[in-house]
Amino acid sequence: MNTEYLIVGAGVAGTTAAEAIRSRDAHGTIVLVGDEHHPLYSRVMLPMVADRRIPPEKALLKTEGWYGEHGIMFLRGRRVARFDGVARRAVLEDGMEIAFGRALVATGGRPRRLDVPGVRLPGVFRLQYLEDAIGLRDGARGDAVVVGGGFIGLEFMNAFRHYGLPTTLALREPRIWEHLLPPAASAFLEAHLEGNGIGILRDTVPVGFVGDERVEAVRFSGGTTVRADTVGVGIGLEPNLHFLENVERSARGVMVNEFLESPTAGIFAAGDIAEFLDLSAGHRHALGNWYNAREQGRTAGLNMAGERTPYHQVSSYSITALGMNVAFIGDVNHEGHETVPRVTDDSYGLLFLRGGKLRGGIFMNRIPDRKPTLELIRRGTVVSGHVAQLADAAFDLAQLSSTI
Amino acid sequence: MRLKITVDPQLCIGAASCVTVSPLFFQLNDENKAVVLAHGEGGGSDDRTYERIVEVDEAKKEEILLAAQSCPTSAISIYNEDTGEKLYPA
Repeated sequence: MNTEYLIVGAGVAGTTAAEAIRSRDAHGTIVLVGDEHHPLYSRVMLPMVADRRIPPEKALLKTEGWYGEHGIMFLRGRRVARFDGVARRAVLEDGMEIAFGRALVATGGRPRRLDVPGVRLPGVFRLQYLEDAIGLRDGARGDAVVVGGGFIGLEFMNAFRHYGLPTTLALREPRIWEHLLPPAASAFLEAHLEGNGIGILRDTVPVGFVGDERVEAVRFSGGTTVRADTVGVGIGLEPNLHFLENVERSARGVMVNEFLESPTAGIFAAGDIAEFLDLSAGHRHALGNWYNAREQGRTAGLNMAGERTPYHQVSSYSITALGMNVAFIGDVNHEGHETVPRVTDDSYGLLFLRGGKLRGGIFMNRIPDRKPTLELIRRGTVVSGHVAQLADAAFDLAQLSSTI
Repeated sequence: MRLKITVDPQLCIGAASCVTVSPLFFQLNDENKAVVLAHGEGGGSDDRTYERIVEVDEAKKEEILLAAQSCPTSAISIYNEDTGEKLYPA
């Protein structure tokens, strides 16, 4: 088969790219390959499916008919086995060959697996696919253990609290978000979790799941065993990149410029696996969140259809941790930044400055800081003369964003 | 033209994609829900304006549609108030 545009990965980045291409090129052939069978759905809504706030079909963002109506050939439940960026040829696992003009790689990641005995026992859940959320909805009961304290771990804790399950969180690290937060901020978040009844185990990993018909306990390194009828595992994603040939890449992603195009002309990348030149942060990295994936998909699609639009966005991500809002805005990498805390008894904020400008912020229970921070970063406002105000947790940042 | 913008607070999770795309028309309140502004007006911490009719030009309409499309939980709906047509989700 020949196509003008090939999109590998039918998640939010890939689907949005197809939509953007079609908005600029009414007739070019578009082939979209995805390994799931559903139309596009929102992974952000999976926790809502898991706790019954919405039925699964409400998480669908496209209808079955949408693809055909937009002239997009959707090869669903299919995987690319080999992809050659120079020869511009892909082969699916079922042997189908596709020659393409331009291609987008938007394959995201798959949940990292725990390679320990008993991991496939019923009652052990992950939370990446629609089926996982439905399984969790129907199967959460008894005592619960969450393995991993990342964003997925927080979503498991939210769901388990909804179902009233006594929950233990197991961290591989000595403290939660060790690589994202300074110790005082980790302590603030842990105190919030413990105050909501979560028990925390530190410096430990599961070495086995015990049970016959269903999980009954988790054995941890160090010898601790915890009773568990339900286990949520969220220990990160592995990028889906194994099929790529003749495409410049790193361990984490496909190397692309600010236009999301790789040095191999005609090959683009978007979403979790795009190692892109971030104009707002000033360096190259990959970001894994919904907003980034969607907006990169849109930009890549426009550029594939002939535009020359740079991706220039301030990244933002927000999650609820047992009722408390936690938000990440902009560049929150500690390296090379001066940090300014904004702390009260019931909130924790941390601003990241470089070259006199605000570059990023982490906010726990500090919702009013979010929008002015975004504005100040976006405008590149010099704030170095206002550090005392930034450090005053009672000072309204909106006053800065509206006056300087 | 006049657009009716609605936010479903039951679906909104405060991801603030809409605020990022269109800060002139969206803001988060103290419950971490998006509220609808009138060209930057409104949006205090205790604001509960989950529906508003605004007069916009074509560029602003596109911006508001992009904001609605960027919502990861499809919490935002947009209507052409003059014709009653639902613009998003279509």
